[in-house]
Amino acid sequence: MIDNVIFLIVMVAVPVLCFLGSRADAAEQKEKTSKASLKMRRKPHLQTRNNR
Amino acid sequence: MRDLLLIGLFPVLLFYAIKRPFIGLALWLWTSLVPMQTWAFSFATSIRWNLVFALATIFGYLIMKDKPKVSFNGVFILVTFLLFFATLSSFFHQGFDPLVWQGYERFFKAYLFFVFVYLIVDKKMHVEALMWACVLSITATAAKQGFKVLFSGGGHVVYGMSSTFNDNNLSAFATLVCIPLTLILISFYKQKFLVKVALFGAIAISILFVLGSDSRGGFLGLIVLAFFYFINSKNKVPILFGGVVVGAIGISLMDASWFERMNSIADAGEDSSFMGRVTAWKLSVLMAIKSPIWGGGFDAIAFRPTWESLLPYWNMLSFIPTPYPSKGHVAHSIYFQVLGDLGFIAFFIFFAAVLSSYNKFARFSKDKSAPEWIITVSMFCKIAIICFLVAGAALSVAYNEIVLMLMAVAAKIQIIHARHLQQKMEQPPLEKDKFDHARSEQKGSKHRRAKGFPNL
Repeated sequence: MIDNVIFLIVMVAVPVLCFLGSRADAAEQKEKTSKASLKMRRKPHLQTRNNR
Repeated sequence: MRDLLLIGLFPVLLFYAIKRPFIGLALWLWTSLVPMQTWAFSFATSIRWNLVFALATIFGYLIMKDKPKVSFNGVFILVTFLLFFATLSSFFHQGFDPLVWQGYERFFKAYLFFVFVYLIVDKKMHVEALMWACVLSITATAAKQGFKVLFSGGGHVVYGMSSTFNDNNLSAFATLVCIPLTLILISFYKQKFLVKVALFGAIAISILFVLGSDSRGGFLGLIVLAFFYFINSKNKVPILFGGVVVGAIGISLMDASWFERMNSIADAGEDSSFMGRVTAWKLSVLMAIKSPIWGGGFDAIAFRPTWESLLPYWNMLSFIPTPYPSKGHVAHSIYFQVLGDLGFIAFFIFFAAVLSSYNKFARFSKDKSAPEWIITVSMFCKIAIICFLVAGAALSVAYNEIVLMLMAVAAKIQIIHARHLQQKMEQPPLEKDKFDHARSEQKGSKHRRAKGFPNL
């Protein structure tokens, strides 16, 4: 009984954690990419020109 | 039924292992610490899960687009030197050939895992995945038996949990080292009440498992762990209360034989089990003296012709009184294991790597400039290394994935922290550059206006 319960907990936890980890990593990478592109867009000379 | 579930999960896990190598690394560790044969018993065990996840991780790493930048530091170089000594030691061994190469294979697999932890781990999430792998393998397996200890009123006889940790002492050791790693996850999930409660429950059951294992080394390690956790924690009162409650429940479940066994720690000199260990330690020292550069090879003193060849030198260590050995021994200590197996140089290399890792964790756990997660990971990994050094003093567990993982994490944390500091340092000049650039633009516009050009 205990063995089965723990087996089920582990076998549910492993794929769920894989899914959540993968999603969080993808979100982090996306954020990193968007930050980098934002940084590019906010380059000082461009920013000054936009302000004008 | 279990096998069907596992086979159903297999493609999903494989997909994630290739897609995200850090998940592959966690699955590699998960299947390495506790093999799938522990979870299922039929056709699912015909798959070589560990090998498949290791290959998937390596493949995933090779096709990964933004690989973390790698710079090799002291710990990495020391562990690589250790592999070099282990390789030469295995070629010039004096032990039983299949046993030596089996030990080498185990060490090489652990080293390969170390290398990929070093190459792949680059942020908090990656460290967290490895901690989950430890909890869902060692702690979960310990929980199965910990509940049995609880429900049987301490009557359950604890057995080994895997081929690596194949007896009560080794299982208690692994469980003990995983307790600080579970505490890391608790501090990461402060806001998630249910996860936090489940992890605290897992720790309580792990403590029962260690107590129920009848392992004296495990019991000593538990006391050391409790002491270091207590002195390093901020919330001392709740921890003291929780520790007293769990400890009282655990000890109330133990019978008279358990108390007798623990009391025998005080008069170890009269204990036959302990004296057997001293004999094994003496054999390991003699092996290292006989072959100081390469040692005898993995588990050499377990081989009859080898330990018999050491008997003429037995009186060299006569200041430690022990009977003559009558059978082969394993080293029964991480210190004497490395010394006897790989010789004096490898002994210093191994413990230089362990102490360097400890030193890094100790430094970052007090470094206010480090991110919060690095401080937490460093503090608990430091305690895990102390557990390894204390509980491992009477066990042959020097080369295993958990210890090498801790070393790789220590090395990587140093790199991540250095990068963090560099990013911090780079920020002010960037702001300054922006300001200078804006000023030059303004000057440019004035210049343009003066020349009669329109402002854009």
